[in-house]
Amino acid sequence: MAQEKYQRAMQMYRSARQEYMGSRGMFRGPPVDMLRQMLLRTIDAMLAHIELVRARAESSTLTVEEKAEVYRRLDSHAEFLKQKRQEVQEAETRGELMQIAREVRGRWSVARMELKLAAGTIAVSRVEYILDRGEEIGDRVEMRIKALEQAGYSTGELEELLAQYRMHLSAARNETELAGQKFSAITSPASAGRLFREGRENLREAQVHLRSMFRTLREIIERLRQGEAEVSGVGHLYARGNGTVVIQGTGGVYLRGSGNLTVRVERGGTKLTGWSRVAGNPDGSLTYTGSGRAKVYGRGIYLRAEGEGLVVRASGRGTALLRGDGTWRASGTGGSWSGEVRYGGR
Amino acid sequence: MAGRLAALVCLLLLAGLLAGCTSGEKRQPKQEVKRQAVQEQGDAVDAELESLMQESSDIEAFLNQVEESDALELEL
Repeated sequence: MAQEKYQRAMQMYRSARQEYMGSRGMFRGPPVDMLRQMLLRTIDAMLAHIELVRARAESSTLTVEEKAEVYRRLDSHAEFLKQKRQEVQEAETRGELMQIAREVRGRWSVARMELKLAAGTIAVSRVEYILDRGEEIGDRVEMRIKALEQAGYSTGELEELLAQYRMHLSAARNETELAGQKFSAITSPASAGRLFREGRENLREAQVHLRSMFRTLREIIERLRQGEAEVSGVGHLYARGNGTVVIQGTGGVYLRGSGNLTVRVERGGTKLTGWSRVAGNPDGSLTYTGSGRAKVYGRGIYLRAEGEGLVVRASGRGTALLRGDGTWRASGTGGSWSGEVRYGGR
Repeated sequence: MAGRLAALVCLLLLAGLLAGCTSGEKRQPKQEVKRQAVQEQGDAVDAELESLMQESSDIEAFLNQVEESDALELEL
């Protein structure tokens, strides 16, 4: 909607400007009505620009406070421009129109700076979101590789590819961070253009790494498919919901959510991100509370999670006890959380 | 007596053959299920990847449009 409106407004602005410039050589200059049209189309294009960025902010991953700040800044410019549009329609002389044009030009240089600041912030937040998703996909893929390894499959190449994937992810994150620094340094109309261009350059570099990441990921997935089709006993379980999940098996488990998480693994490893408190249990397991992500891999995995927003992806073989409100999928079948689910071979 | 024994052997062979066929039939869907499961896992990542790639291109297009705001002039 905002996109179409913007494109229409820009098209009308360009043709009004072309017409206006063409008539500047006329004996008494362009007629007043042509000047009025030119001003109206320019203001409309400015308003469409503001609306475009505002709409992006609305659907963005910015926090409520960040969004409110963007709206506050942009809306005051939009109000000013709407008022000037009204004045343009009511103006009777060339002099009055020229005066309004000067006021609009001055205000637009500030609005343009704030549009760049807002757009940069929105773009950085979107790329960060993509990178977070990419990191999560990397974790899930890692657990599938671990499950293949447990099944006796040679995973050297897959691990190498995963390392490449993560290297690009890290490089993309660095560039995005640099872009964020450039955009947040936009504080004056004079430096806005330069800083915006520099920030964009960093984001372009980040995009280059993102593309390499995606290419590598495609290769990893292709090889994982081959491996998983070759070895026997490797299955997958995907479960999502609120309640209790108990997984016992061999391979790899990826989990995210909040609540209590208890983990024990006989031969393998665990990596947790974000969980806060830790307590040891007599059976050697550790219980974490809070929220975050967990990767558990190896033989003799025991994982119990109790909480909300739980997302579990297990690869290899094992059983999952699911109780609460949620859904699961495994080996072409699925259902709701109401008991034991088996995945992979015995 | 020998005829009965031969008939019994034939019957057992036939039963074995049928059982073999049946278990073969059962194995086939299992393999199919496994292939499907592997495919599903892959497809889930593929779909996610597609949407992330699309989003990454959208950002580029959006920033291009914002840069166009520099083209808006009021030189009269």
